[in-house]
Formats: sequence, C-alpha cells, structure tokens
Amino acid sequence: MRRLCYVVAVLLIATGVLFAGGKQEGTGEPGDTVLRIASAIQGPEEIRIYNDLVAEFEANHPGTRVEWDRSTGDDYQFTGLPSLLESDTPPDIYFEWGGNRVAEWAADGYALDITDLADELRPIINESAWAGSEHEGATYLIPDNQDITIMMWYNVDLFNRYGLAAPDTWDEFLAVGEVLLENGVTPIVMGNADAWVAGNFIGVFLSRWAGDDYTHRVLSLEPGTALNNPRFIEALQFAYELGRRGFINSDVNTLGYEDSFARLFNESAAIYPLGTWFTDEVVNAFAEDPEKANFDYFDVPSFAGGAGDPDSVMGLNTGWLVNANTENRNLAYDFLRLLLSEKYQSRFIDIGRISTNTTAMNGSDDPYIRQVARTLDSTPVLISPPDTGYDLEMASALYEAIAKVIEGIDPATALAEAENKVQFLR
Amino acid sequence: MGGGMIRQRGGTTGWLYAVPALLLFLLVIVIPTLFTVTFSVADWQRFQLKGIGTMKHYMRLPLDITLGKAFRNTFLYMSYTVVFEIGTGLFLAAIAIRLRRSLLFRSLIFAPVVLPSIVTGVLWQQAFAMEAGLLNRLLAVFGVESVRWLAPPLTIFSISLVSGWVWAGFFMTIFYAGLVRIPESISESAVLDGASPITIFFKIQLPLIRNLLVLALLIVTTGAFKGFDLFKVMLRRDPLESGVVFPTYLVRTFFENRNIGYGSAISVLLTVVVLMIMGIVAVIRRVYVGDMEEY
Repeated sequence: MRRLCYVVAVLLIATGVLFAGGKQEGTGEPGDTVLRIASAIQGPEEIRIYNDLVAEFEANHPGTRVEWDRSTGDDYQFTGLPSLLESDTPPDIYFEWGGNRVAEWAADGYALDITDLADELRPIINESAWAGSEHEGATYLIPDNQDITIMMWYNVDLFNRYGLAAPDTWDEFLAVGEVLLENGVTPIVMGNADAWVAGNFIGVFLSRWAGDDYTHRVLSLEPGTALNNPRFIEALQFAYELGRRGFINSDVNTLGYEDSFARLFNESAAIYPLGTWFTDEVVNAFAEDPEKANFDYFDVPSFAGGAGDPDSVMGLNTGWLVNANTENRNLAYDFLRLLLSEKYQSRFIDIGRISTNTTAMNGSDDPYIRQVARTLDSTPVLISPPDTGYDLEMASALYEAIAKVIEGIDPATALAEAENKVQFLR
Repeated sequence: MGGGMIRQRGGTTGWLYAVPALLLFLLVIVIPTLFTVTFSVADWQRFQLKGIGTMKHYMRLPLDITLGKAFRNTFLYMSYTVVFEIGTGLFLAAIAIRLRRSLLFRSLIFAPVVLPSIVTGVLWQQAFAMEAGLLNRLLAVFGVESVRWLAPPLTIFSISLVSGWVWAGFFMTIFYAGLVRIPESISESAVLDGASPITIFFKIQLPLIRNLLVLALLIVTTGAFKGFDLFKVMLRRDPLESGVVFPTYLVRTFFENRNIGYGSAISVLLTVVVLMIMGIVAVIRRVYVGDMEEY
C-alpha cells in the first residue's frame, strides 16, 4: 500500500511539473505563442521562400513560433481545411481561392473581417487582385497571387518541327490539331482524374459561347435557369468535337494532372491546358536543366459567333484569410504584411508566380511575367472557375458532364444529367 | 429459493461485467447513429445548423441518379468480390491443403493483406495505366490494343480484381484453418470408396467448412459497403462516375460538396441496407449451416 501511495505521488508530481512547464506564458522564450498557418501543398521552391519568410518573422517576434500545415495535400480544398478549422488547433491564417469560397467562410463565421489590413495594403496591391475578396462590403482575403486558370501551353519544338503557329481562332486550332494527329502526336493532353482540368478548360467555352453574364447566371443557379440550356449544349458541342476527332488523350479521365505533364515534354502530346502555375511545375521538374523546357502559350482560341467576350480570361486570385476565432490577430497581420512585402513577392515572381504586389511586378524583367500581368490587367471579363466561383455541388455536376462529353456522350444527355443533380439546389 | 437468489445475483453481476462494453457501444455506435439521423432531418448551410424537422433530404434520395449508380456499382463490386475473394481464396486453400508443408506458398499469397491499401492502390493504378502500365505492355506483346482498365465498362471489374488480389490470401487462411481441422480419416474413407480428390473437396470438405463460407460471405458482402480506399486512390475524383460506390459518394456529398444533411440521409440509407444484408446472411446461415458440426 505504501509503495502504491509512493508511485501515485511521484506520478502526480511528474504530471504537475509537465503541465506547469507547458503552461508557462509570457517568458519570452521561443515557442511561447504559436501562429498556425494552413495551405495546400506547395512546391520545393515555394517552400524554400516561405521558410525564409517564417525565419524572419520569428526573428522579428521573439517568443512566437510558426507552425505550417501542408499535410492535408490535395484534399486541402475539400476535407483538409474544414477539418483543420474544426480541430483543436485551427489555423490562424489559411490559404484560399478568391470568390465563392471566401464568401462562404465569411458567412459561416470562419473568416475575420480584415478590411483595416486590406485598406493598409491596398496601395501596394494590384487593384484587379481584390476581386473575390469581399463579402457584404467587408474584405476577408488578402490576395498575394493571381492566376490565369487556363492557358494553352505548348511544346515549341513540336510546333516548329511541323511548321505550326499558335492559333487564334477555333478553325486555326482545329487545323493545328489535324497536322499534329497526322504526325502521330496527340494534340491536347489533360489529366482530368480530379475533374477540374477539363472542367476549367471547357468552362471557358461556356462563357465564350453562351455569354459571360448568361453563364454567370446559370452557374449561380438563378431561378429559371438550367444547365441543359441550348446555349450550353451548343458550347459543349465544341468539346464533343475535340473528343470525337481524337484531339484529347484517350485516358484523359483516368490520368492525374501531374502524370499528364510529362507527355508534353516527351513529345507524345503538344498542347497542355493549365493555369499559370504550369511554370511552377516546370521550375520543379527542370530545376537542373531549364533549357530543356522549351514551351510557350496561347490563349483559348476564340469562337466565331460566340455571345461572350472573345478576350475573356478564366482566372482567379488566391490569398490568405485570418481565422475569425484567432487569438493572434496582430501576429497574423504582421505575418501577412511581411508576406506581401516587395522582398518576398519578388522572390515568388522569380519562380514564375504572378504577384499582386505592383512594385515587385514592375521590378520584374521577365517577359512572361509581364505579359501575364498585362493580360490580367487588361481582360474585359475575368471568368471564375466553376469550382471556386460557384456552389461546389453545381461545379461537381458540371465537371462530370464535361468529362462525359469529351468521352463521347452527347452534350444534351450529359447536361440533362447534371441538371438533374443540381435541381435541388436551385 | 436459494437457487433463485443466486440466479438473480448472477444476472446483476453479468450486467455489471457488460457495462464497459455497453458504454463503448453507446458511445461509438448508438450516439453517432442518433446524431446522423438527426443531421439527416436538419437544414444546413454548409457546416451551420439552421433548423431541424425537414424530410427534404429523404425526398431527394429516390431521384438521385448518382446514388442509383452507387447502388448498382456497390452490388456489382460485391458480386465480383464474392468470386475474386472467396472463390479464389477457396481455390488457393485447396492448393494450400495439398502443400501443407509449404509455409512459403501461404506467406506469399497472404502478403498483399499486410500492404497498406494506399500502396496497393498506387501500385495497381500504375499497372492499369493506359500508356506505360504493366498490363497493357503485356497485352502489347500479344498484339492486343491497350485496354482502359479504369474506365467504363471495366472500372468495377478492375478494382474488384485488385480487391481479390489483396483479400484472397486472407480467405485462403480462414478456409485453410478449417480444412486442416477436418480429420483425415474422413477423406481416407472416401478414398477407399473410390472418391476422386475433386469429389472429396466438393462433396465432403467444402460442406464441412460451410460455416466458414457463410462467415466469409458476411465479411465480403458487408465489406463491399466499406470499399473506399482503393476507389479513392485509383479513381481519384472519378469524373465519369463509373466507379462511384456508396462510401465514395457519401464522402463526396458530405465533405467535398459540404452537404451535411443529404450526406447524413445517404448514411442512414447505407446503414439500413447493410443491416438488411446482414439479416439476409443470418437467414442463410440459419438455413444452410444450422447446428452442424463446425471445423
């Protein structure tokens, strides 16, 4: 019995010491306060910059430690972030795509109104970058990056070999595709196993053909609209045509997008529709020999007779939200100030990202960066990708319809099925 | 009188012994089930509860095309896995019983069971790949065109094949354990009566392990409703919905589309279906196995 009492006493003392150590506050020792950040997975080059940023932030804020959660990987968007926000250790700052998602987090009480910080940073951030950052007049997202979601990246060596020029119109595009096919090259390669690659690419067709406003109303599930409307059916006929002619790799819907990338450079395919982050992939894949990656891009070809603006661009802004329940608001603000500084944004530009920091962008002499920035600034219509700009169930149903159309199912049938799925949401 | 007292005290003590298990059952089964049922009749705005007392999620169930596909695919998957897992497991057990000393054979066949399912999924996804996949390269040797293993109409078949590759070893072990317990004298008598090895297996050994067959059937049929990992890893978002099954559709609805109410209604439906299947298997067990001597 005496031995038992002794053991219990030792355990109690040990537990007390342990908890007393863990609860010390305000000593100024490193690790006192934890600033938690959550984001989708990032490439090694990006992580290197973020690590330097974190080191500088921690040096400027003794007693503060930054914990960065990238572990949720590809599922960040759907399951990772919601789980983290509901966990016992929710992030203070979290990455998001501008648009509907920001509005949803704000409406649901997970995002802090950071209009004051936004007003402070507004002079250094590109005006067009603020689209999709607000909800009911307040700002919730600090954008640090802009993306064109769909650009037609192509292998320059292949195009040169077959005497091809980047096409402007749909007819020119079809002609280029035919030449490539005749030479045994798949014109377009997409890895659509996650549904969004073809969803974004063909999503541009909807806007360009059916009209920007009309498409927006349909995708917003306005009463009286339907996904299987005649204009959408006509727009998807272009996608159907691509599939029918064999322009798209036959395993498009079972191939991961990261696996499809290689086919552009092993010359089995010539064109790769993806966003501006394609350059991140290239930087990471060709870090040792960047000369090997000979690529360029053209815009999604315009359709004659389309009701939408032929110069519209599908794009989005990404950035950072502050958790409404954070206890580290000031630290979060300081972190975002440092992140948006010219010093770090210039480094992101160097690895091919389109920064929202105007000074950093003006300081870049990279013709690609400047060209993309000009496109984003000058586009008359910025189309939101369905999965970030609109309801997720709607986007999901639309993407499935698109995937089926490029497999050979007629657009009317595929869209009717999609409409059947979303009718409950309207 | 005294015996009654003992019975009464024994009953109370028995219940006390069961308390921990009952508490656990309450915590991990009953309460979550009640929550799910409540969620399914609630109005949600993504993760925010807006009110309780709606049947709209249940009204949607019979009209949901994807749910219909999930039903069909789940039952198809179940049928294939009965053949690939139980059928192959039985076949392998028949071989293993003839190679009693070969621990290597049993170990090799059992090995896939211990592989993490993510690894298995990635491995087979590569093997099924259209361009550089092992299976299509093998087919190319014989001049056969590449097959889209993970696209319709083969999607469920291919995933069931992988499932069979993994779990056949597990069922082989179960059946093997039953077969080795059957006294050799029974087979020897049959041999003396002129029975062939195949006759002995099908007419004598198999009926003697039918309790294990029913157990395997229960595991496979209910397991089909848990099939998620291989589907998720190999098909990812599955934009063609050719491999959509109950669990993948449930996760997509609940988490990806953030539709808690409808996701919960699907969960309730899934629970009811699984309970019904368990009931059917229990009836089969009663009729087919009864009070037979078990090996």
